[in-house]
Amino acid sequence: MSSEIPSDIAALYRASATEEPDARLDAAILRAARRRRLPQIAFAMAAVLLLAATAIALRPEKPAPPSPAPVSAEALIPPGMADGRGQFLAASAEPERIGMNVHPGFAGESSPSGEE
Amino acid sequence: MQNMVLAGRLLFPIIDGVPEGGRLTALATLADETLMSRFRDGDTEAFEALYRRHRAGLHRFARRMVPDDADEIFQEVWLAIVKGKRRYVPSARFVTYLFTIAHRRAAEKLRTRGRAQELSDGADQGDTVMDDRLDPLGSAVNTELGRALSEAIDLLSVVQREAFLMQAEGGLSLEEIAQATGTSRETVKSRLRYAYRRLRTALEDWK
Repeated sequence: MSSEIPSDIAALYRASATEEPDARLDAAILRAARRRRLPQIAFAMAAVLLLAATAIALRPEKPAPPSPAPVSAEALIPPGMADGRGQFLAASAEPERIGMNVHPGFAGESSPSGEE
Repeated sequence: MQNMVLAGRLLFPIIDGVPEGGRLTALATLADETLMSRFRDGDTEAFEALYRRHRAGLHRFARRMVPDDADEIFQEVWLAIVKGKRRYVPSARFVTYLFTIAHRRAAEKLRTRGRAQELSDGADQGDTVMDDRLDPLGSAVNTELGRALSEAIDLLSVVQREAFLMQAEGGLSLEEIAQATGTSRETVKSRLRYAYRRLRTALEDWK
């Protein structure tokens, strides 16, 4: 600063100047400063949510469990219960045997003794 | 006054509060430009520290420049800083930035009141008294001498008063005042010379 400008007057002024702004002005300005930050926070949160949603949408699907090897019908039939063509014996032969436990008298057969 | 101090404590708990010593110390030691850069990056407490540091000086500047619109100018300046924080580049001192905005806002208010001519270069009329109104806050100064000085400041021309207040309240250099007011260093120097001469004369008369 130039030497011809006295500094004592400025110092006297600073010592005597004590006026301050109203507290309501302080509150309004500080509130505005804080409020200006809110859109940024909201934007950041929206960006994070969007990223998370995108990540979920693009997530690779879990690989499906390996399917069992195809099994032939013959393999599913216990040994001794199938004929050569893979048919159940019980199902293919002698359907009349179903009634084998019926009393002979009711089945219309002749008695062993030959009586009528 | 006590209410204002209490309100200040409530408004600035982090800065004023002793228990927050770490944060208090950290912010108090930072330069204006660093605080402003931090605010630009989202640190609201940095703005509070900056505001705390310059609020009184800027408000006194506004009151003495355009008493009727002081609160409005004060609020507009700070809101301009808040809104324009993304554009802030610390190429000059923060106070220069602050008082540049304040100068523009004061000029707008004076223009609406038909007194813009007082802030133009052509209005620099040396010792001519441009404003004979007394600041209503003159009675609030602590001493008789301070009151006399305050009244003498109010009697300066607008451009002289502006240069004086930028130097006394903001600590701006001749170059910074020239930058803030859009004039030359020599013009500022001349305005300050006249201002100090008038103030000295007023104080000698008072003695």
